[in-house]
Amino acid sequence: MVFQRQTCRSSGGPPSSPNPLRFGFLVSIVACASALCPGIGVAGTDVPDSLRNYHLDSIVVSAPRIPQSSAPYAFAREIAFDAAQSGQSLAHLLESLPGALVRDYGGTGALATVSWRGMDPSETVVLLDGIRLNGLQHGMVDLNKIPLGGFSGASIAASDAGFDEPAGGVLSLHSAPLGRDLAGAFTAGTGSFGDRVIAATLGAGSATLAGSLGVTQASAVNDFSYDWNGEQRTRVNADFTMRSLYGRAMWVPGANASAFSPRHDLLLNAVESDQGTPGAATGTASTARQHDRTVTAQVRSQWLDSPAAQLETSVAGLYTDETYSGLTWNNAYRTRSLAIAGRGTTMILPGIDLHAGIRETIGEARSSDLADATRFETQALLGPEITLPPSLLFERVRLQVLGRCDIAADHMDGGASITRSLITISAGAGATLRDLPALTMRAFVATTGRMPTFNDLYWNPGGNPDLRTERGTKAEIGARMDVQQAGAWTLDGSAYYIDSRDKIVWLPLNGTIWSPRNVRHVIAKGVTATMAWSPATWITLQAAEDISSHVRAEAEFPGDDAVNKQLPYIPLETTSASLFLRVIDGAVTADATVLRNSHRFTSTDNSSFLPGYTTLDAGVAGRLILAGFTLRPSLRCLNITGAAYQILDGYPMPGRSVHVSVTTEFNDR
Amino acid sequence: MFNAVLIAALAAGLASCTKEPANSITNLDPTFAAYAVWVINEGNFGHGNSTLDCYEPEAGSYHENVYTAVNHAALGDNANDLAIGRGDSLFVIVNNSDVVRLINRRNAHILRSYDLPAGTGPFKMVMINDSDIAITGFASSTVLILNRWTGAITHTYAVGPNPQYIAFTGSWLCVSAPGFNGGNEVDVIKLSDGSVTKIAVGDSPSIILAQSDTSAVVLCSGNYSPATPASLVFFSTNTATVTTRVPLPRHPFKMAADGRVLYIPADSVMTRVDLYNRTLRDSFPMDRVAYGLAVDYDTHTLYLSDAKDFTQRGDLSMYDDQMLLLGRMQTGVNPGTMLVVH
Repeated sequence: MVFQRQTCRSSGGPPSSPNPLRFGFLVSIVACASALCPGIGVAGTDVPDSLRNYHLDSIVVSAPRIPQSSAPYAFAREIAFDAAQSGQSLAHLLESLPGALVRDYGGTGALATVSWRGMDPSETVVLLDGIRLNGLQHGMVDLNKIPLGGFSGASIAASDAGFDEPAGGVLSLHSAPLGRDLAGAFTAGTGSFGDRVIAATLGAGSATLAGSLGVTQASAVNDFSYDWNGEQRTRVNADFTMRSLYGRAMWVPGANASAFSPRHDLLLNAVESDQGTPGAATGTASTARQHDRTVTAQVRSQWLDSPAAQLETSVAGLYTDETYSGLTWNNAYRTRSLAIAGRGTTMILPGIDLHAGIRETIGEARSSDLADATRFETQALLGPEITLPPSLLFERVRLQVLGRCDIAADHMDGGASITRSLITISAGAGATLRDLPALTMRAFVATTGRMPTFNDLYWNPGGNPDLRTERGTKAEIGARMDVQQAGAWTLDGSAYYIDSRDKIVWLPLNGTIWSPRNVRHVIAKGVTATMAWSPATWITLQAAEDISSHVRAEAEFPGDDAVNKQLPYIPLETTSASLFLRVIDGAVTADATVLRNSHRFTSTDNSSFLPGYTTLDAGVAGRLILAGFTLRPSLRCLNITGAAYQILDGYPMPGRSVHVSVTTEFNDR
Repeated sequence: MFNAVLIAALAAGLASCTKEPANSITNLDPTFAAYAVWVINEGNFGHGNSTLDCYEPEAGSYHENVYTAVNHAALGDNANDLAIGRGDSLFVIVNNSDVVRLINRRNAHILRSYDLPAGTGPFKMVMINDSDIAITGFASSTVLILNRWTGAITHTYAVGPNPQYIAFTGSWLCVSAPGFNGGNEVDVIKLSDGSVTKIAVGDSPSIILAQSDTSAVVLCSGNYSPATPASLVFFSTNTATVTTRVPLPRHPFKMAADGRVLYIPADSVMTRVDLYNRTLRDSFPMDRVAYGLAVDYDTHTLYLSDAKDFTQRGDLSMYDDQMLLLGRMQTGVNPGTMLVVH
């Protein structure tokens, strides 16, 4: 017998878990926004999203000036959270973005992870306002445990401009901007599968201080019927309740509209969830439950912000608590970490900026399944960014090189100490042609790496303290073109190559004990193409195509039949197309998205597969202003055609579902 | 022109570039030889892709996925054990489906399915008599006695954590119960009064072979972290004591006996133990790692299955008693338990 005790959740639980994001408010594919304002959606130019500023009267409330997430020369996509897309989870929103691979164990209420371009979920860094959510224990992040309340959007990108350079890119969530006026919103929603959500937010500010606070409670019975080899079944024990609290406060002592003043930003998120774990469709009914708590807190201070120098510091804490009951293996897992970081940029010569940063993290994971250890991690980054003067060929060329050093020392409670180090370097370039300014080109190459997690090293039994750090190389070239002809066109294309070595793979030692090994050499390559066309201001069409190959490059043992075969669960081809409408001056918006995923193999030798599937989602939302209040009703239908499909074998996805919500806002910003 | 190119590109993009493979399950209505090697392919836990294969040594024929081909239904999730029933019947334990299936081994037709209580997680079984079957409940930490005629659970014994292998010595049921964290317990159930006696044998006990009415031998694999040695432990059931302990190299998880010779593979080495003298006899290198092991007592042929990376199809190798390779065939995913039937 081979139990997948480690592979899916690695925290010891079964490959199910959790909980949804049924925030009846807030969610919209940015592509929508970007399509309506071409030029925002597809990054890859030389202005990272994190440089956006929000100017509100005398107080300047800004996102950090120093890039925290996507590297400026890597392909990236963004989504914005908006009331018009209620009823969708973050996993669902990311699913249709080219390059994003969502592994979903049964839709809302189940474990869902994301990775970039077929890499493993633990190889994609997830940042919550710069706080790394990938825990020390298993390194994965459950998308359905990320509260969207309080966030304005997210970006997912091929490369990281921060302290990590993982093979699987970075997903970064951004806090919503603050305002000075008193403003608030209340949302109530309901939908299929017993979906219920209520949420409230309140924000206020003054010339020097602004803040917001929000609470959400979402719940659902979440059982749904599905077809299993021609047999009608019902998923049970999938109910959940999730409560979240978020808050943000920014203090700008000595605020001055004409000059920069240091500012201090407090960001807090807390999520508590209780849910059943329905397990795989192939097993008998489960009665197991999971109770989770996650708290993140960060104080970020911006000390300098001028063309000559920028400087910010941050102190961030992360606490997670997972408790399982009713399983064969009941247990609790607690992780804590505290990170102190400083980053800055200074102009050392005209056209040459120098980026530097250092982050010190102390963290631990505690469970009876783990040998007790505490990790001290020091990370540093350093590198120039160069802007070349215009030349005969190029209007503008920017180059960036970043070197990173990561030293992690694990101190065991027994006194032993193990130190690992990792050095990665990334180099990127972006250029605009003089004779064709609508065309921008980009390229980057980087070495990558990922430290083993505590589960990998210290799981008892089976942990392998001799594991090596995963390493690899990735490269990408791309181009983007903005054309005004019969409307606004944005075209973007990328080709990529990722060579990943010493990948950590959990394999059974016998029927019940698994152990991780550095065995896998994977080569991934592919192309991504996106298009957005707005023939008029009220309509936008978008399409994306991703074709990829992810293969095992070397035999791992005698008789290995998986060499040069596509890795399991990674589609060879993903296609999406969307239509966005915005009429009556934005009072009514509507959208529809078709997503097609090709078949995916379920075995490494490609001897079995899940068939391809196509889903159709659509929604309509309105905006009505009454007596100073703004009403935002929303109706969304997911999987309209009721397609029966699985993303992962044994975990059927929900059929058709409908969600409605109404948000009431006052002093809508 | 620009728009035409874009529309053409979009249309090309939306048209699927990949071709889906054909489904390869075929219908079958065979007759299998009485002398056959049955192979359980466990599949992947939670994926419901367990299959049953049949190898006919005399004809040299290997039949894949015979249960589904004959019965047009999935075998279940994580099939894990095989046992000979009365006449031409064959029991198949399906762990994560909480079911025991009884099939006709001459044609693979389903005769009956025994649904066990949800959450049992049946692991291994042994026939006690003509009516009763003892089954370890891995998930429920119990041993169940199933009446094969009525399908009723007649007794339930609470044993150590996560019981795995089981053997019947005549009056006692011996159950290895290592739990998830490398325990060292074998539970001996006295069927006459239902008493359960625990014996500390060695770390990570697994396969148990009955040797006589009052003695058995259990393979203790040892633990990985912190490392403890493997051993072969002989114990008495009526006195509940360890009689002999034979240290073993590496961390073996499988063993199979052929008369006085006990085959114990670990990593890529096959070690042989003399059961009479209770000593290590010799060892042979292999080019496979054993996930399943069975012996044909008549021909002294050793059947060894390799699960490879546990997510691709494995293979079945046949060796003579000097570990010379006789042949090799591809199996399903995670070939584990094998049963040679004459």
